[in-house]
Amino acid sequence: MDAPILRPTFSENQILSADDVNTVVAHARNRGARHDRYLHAWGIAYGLTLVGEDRVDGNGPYQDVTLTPGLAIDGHGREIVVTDSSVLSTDTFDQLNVVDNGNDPEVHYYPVFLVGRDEDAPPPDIALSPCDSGGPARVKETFDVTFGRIGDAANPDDQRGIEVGTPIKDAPQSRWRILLGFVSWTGTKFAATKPDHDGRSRRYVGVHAEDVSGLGDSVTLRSAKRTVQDKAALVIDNTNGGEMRFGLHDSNGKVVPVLTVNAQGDVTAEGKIVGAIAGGVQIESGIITDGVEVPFPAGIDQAMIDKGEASIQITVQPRYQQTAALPVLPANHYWMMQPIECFAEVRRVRCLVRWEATDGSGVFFAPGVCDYVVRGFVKAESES
Amino acid sequence: MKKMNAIVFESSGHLLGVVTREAQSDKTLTVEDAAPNGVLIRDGDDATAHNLIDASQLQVKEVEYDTRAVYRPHRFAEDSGRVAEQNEPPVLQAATIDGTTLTVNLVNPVVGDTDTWVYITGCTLSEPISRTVTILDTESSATVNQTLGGGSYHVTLFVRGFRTLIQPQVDL
Repeated sequence: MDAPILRPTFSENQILSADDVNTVVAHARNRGARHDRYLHAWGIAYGLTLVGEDRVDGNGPYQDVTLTPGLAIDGHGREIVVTDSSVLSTDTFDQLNVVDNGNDPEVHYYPVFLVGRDEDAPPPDIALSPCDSGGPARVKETFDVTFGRIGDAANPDDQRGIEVGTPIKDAPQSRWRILLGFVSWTGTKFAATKPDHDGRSRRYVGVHAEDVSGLGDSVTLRSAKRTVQDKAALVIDNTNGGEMRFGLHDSNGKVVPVLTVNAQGDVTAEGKIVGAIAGGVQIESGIITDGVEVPFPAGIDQAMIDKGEASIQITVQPRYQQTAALPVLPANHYWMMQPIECFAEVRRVRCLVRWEATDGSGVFFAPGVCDYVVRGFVKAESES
Repeated sequence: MKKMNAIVFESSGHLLGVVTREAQSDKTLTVEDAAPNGVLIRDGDDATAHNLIDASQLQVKEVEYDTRAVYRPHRFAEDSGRVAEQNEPPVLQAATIDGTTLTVNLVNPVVGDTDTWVYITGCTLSEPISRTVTILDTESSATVNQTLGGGSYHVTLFVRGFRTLIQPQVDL
């Protein structure tokens, strides 16, 4: 922007010119364009999908491809509104001569672009006053659907924006292309359509910001609308003093966490963590009594062990504790515990101990208690 | 309040084992987690007194941590999220098998019809036997038909209010 922004003001008895009124419109319009251009990333905001309907004629199967209504913001900050569905023109495609010499409808897909365009609306048939210049009283903010050669969808960010406020029609380089999808060609008709091809896909609008502050003590990032179930989402809020939770959201938009980090840095993961140590290590520990099987660490189950995708190591040791479960002894006397057996048979703990009172009042054998640690090792995924 | 996972005999609530899990302390264990192949229970003073209680007879309950139940689980039963110490059974309280019948003897008459549970495993059995034996009001014992072939058997008796009775091996 090399000229200051002028905001029109008016005074009593001022005679307004067309330029004065146009400046009012342009000021609001350009403000919106600057907002959309600098605070947002350009792309599709709603709709604008390509829908193919299967047809057959004397030459075989083909598709009629329709563009659905929607809205997009281009890189100039211009809003492009498609109000009605429209069938893509095979004549336009043919005339653009974008087809590859060795066209194969199974392999070759051509990009379809949406481009905004300003068009003077036709002037009124009858001048409303003797002073009426008869010029256009409206500019139609319309669009074109055009097609490109194979590869034309690459490098969409190489397009350059024009200065905000520059009329689109005055700048040929102002035709900013927004990718809608791809079509393939039978030679006379469209063969098929798809939203992405060869690593290129539709782009949707985004946000440019350094700081996002939540309202209601929470911020949620969603990969889809909150009413669409089982889509990934991330929540940052002040539950339990501060948490970040990732998971899929249910049909009410509530995130069911599979990964949680709290304000103390504790990480809780429902699945396995694959990292620098082979495929990852998971650890579980606790107390366990004789005859019970040691539980697997998080993210590891018997099926993984059976398939050879993970392995576990179990360590058990007898737990020594003077407990109220034992008969009370006189002061300065204790129950001594002697382990008879203490091991893990596959996952089942076998622990038998002998208790003897130091005052000689009792000796008995009983199933024991162990402290256990189980380490689970997830094998690194193969590169096959 | 600290919690622990109690593995219980589902019909009576008697504790058969205890597990805690530090990394996932807020998640209650399931039977599949801690006893997919059942729980092995035994009486320390008699090497022949043991039994393998099948996973289908088990349930895991989250209860308040109690050191007494950790060290002597068979003396307790689960009751509304806590463990309750059960009484020492009378000396002659037992479940007896003879090859054609099963008799549960509580020694003292019961007040009201009282269910008891008997769990039998043995080398001749392809599946364990789990029987509910009801002792009628004012009676102290009950007998039901139970055919068993010759061999060694392990019998465990569960009676509410009394400790789990892991009986010595019986040879028929």
